[in-house]
Amino acid sequence: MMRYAMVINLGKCVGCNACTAACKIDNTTGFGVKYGRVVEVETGKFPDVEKLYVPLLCMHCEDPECLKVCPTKATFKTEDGVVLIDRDKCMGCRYCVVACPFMARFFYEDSKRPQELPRMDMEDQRLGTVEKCDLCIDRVKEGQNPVCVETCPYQARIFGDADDPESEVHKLIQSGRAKTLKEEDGFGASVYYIWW
Amino acid sequence: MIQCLAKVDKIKTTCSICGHNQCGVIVEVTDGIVTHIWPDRSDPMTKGSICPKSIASVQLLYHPDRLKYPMVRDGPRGSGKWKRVTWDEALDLISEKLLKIKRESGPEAIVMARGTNRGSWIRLFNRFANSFGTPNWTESGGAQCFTPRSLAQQLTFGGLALEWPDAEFSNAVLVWGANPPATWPPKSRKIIEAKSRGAKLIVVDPVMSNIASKADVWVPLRPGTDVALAMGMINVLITEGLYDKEYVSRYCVGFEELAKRVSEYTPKKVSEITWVPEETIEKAARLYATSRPSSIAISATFDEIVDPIQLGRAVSILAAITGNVDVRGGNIFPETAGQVSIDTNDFIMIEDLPEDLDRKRLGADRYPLLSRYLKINFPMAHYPTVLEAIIRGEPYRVRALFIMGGNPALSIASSERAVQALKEVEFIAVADLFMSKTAELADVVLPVATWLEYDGLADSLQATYGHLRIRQKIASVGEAKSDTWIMIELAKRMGLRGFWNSEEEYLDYILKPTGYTFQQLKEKGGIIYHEPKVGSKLEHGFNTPSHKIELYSERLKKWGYDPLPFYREPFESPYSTPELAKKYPFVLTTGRRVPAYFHTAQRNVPALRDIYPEPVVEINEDTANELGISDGDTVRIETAHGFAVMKAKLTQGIHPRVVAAQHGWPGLANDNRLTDNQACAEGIGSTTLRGLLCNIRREG
Repeated sequence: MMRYAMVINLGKCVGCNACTAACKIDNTTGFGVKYGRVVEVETGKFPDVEKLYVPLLCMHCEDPECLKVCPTKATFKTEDGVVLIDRDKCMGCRYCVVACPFMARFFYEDSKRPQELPRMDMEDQRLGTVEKCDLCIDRVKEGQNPVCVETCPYQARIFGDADDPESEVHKLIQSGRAKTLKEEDGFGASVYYIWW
Repeated sequence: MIQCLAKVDKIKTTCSICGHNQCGVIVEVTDGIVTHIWPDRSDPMTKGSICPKSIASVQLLYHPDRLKYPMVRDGPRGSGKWKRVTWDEALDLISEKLLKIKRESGPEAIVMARGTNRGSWIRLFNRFANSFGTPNWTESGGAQCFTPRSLAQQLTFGGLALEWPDAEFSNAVLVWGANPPATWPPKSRKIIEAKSRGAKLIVVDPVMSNIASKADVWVPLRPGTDVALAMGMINVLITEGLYDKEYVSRYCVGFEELAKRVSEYTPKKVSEITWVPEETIEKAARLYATSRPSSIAISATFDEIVDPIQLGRAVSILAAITGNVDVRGGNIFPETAGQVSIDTNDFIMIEDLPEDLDRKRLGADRYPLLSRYLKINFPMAHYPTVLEAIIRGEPYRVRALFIMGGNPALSIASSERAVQALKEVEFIAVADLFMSKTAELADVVLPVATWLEYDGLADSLQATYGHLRIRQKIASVGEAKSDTWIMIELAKRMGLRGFWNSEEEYLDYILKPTGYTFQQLKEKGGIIYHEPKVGSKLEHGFNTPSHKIELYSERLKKWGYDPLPFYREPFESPYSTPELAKKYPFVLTTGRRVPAYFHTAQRNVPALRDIYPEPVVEINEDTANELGISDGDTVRIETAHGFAVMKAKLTQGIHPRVVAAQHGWPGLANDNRLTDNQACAEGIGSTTLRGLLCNIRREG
């Protein structure tokens, strides 16, 4: 079996947002649409304060809330753990946008049209549907890394097959160091985090 | 389906979106159209560093608002009415106008003002000015960026070691007044790599910045008090015997005088000045000195406080007495990759400017450290003095501004005053990518190429550590031309000495000592690299009169300045102007950077604006609660010099009495509406951008 996974090293993420920009350029997303983004999490009180930069994207959950609420079965999960949207089936009801605990889904409407670039198909098939991170599945199928992984100047993101015992992601997950968000609640996903 | 048949090329080139870092990148071109920009991890120096600005250059390149052809104004100045002209017409017009003013009023009536370095043309600009005969070359950076800290380093150890932390080999890195993840990705990458193998990180910054979030010791000082902190740290090291006695006795002069001077700066006194607890000062000093080798990374804060020379000197001295200069893992000296260095007085043809004209350099009388006689820095006119000369006509009338890569309408302290000057000057030519706030006020605008549209060399002074890469013409939009091409074509028309017939001829000239032509280097992969030579100054002597590191500077003494660093309270502060502080109770630092913007640029690039949509001012959460300000509220920041309107960001990562405003936004959000171009640093003329007084309240 193949199970794609991404492990993000929060120790190395400095919040430069190179990943966010690369994702936006590669996916030609419109204003306000960020399949991937970086949030700041601050704790403590001055001067004893700590700040973390946490990259967020679709977690490709084990048991996705978005999938459960989709009335047309447009959202589906592949055998290798990737949550995708069948655009032809999506009717734009946006239940999934509300259901997603990570705010990783976006409804693509006219006001969000991206900057026009040469070669861009302005008859955008995405209009009126929900869009999100697809883990760059087309690139991955060709043996490449997702765009955010390939871009990160700090190589804070590691991508691979969690079921491959030789892979770095497998080792990190097995060691217990890599955790999903809300792991204590038994939450399963394809995106994991480590601290150094 | 079209995409399946597309021809995809991947071209190695060098980004110049910021002009400093020269990151190696790979540009993906699909059917002749630039579609993506990737980091080049194979580059021996930048090793895959990249930033959002570079990546979003795809949108910048094809932006619908790009200037695409030269235009002259077709209505009153600032009316927005333009007429398209040919390059020949535009260049003839500029050339004739400048030559006419030169004949009528002397060359000094023409000011050449540059902003960012969009390629390897920066010193061509100085060369052009000297060849043309005007002493009035200036830059938006200049006294505000690099010039003071460069001078301080040259005076101390005869080179620019603080510009290059050899962090890959450091056991500790001290980042001071800089946020490398936002502005220096290659340095940032090295620092994080060092950190991930266990090196310690100390960050001096009033704000919990991107890099401060990774710090082992964060030193949130009161903005503008950096010199006191540095002196306090040196005091701790000398008192506790933690400096490198052997290094000091072999390579430094003036230690006794230094020790006497810093004895005044006890941790207690420094803590009172900086608002940093004594323990934090001691901890930072000890960690830096005992984790050797340790390196220091600095940036523009060193040029934007009340006394920048003293800060550059004090921190250079800190590095020196701990034995961290010219050693592996410490701070090392830049060198070229063997090409003609553009950063010399020979290259800028300084001798072409007659003595009598040199004496007319605007501001050089009040700020002699900007002038020519030091023979250390590039002499330049003082930008605020230039603007005042336009407005007041004193000491003589400035009639023309030729502006490349700059947007003084936003980027100069007291920006409203700068706008007034732009409106009053007789003639303005601007070369830029977009119709900037400055270009709107021009007579002629010239469309400039992005870094994806010309052949060039990545030979920035701060990024040439034995490293030289080429930049390639990959795309072309409208009639945009490189800054280099514009200078060369204008020089031809004006019959200036020392120019070339084409860009390629110029690039070949620069490359000549390497044995390559531009084409040959391109065919060979486009990179020259050799490991920087470390330790050669220790072996052969430093480039100072004593050939040692001058803790005590005889040269400063000779020029009438203090030979040892000392702390000066900012022009305005709770202590220097207590009455003013009653009205403006908070200490303001302006100039906060985010990774997506370079100074005033790129707010119009959608992928970047989406990441940082609004101008932000950071304020302590508890303070904000007292003031009734919530996160995201529109707030008005007021200083004695003006007001600005931004969005409040509440954080615990800042002192309750400190406020930090972002830099570079247009309109009412411009932080330079808050700054003062009249109070300038002694000798060098820098305006204070860090350490002003302000008040802040919810707008409306």
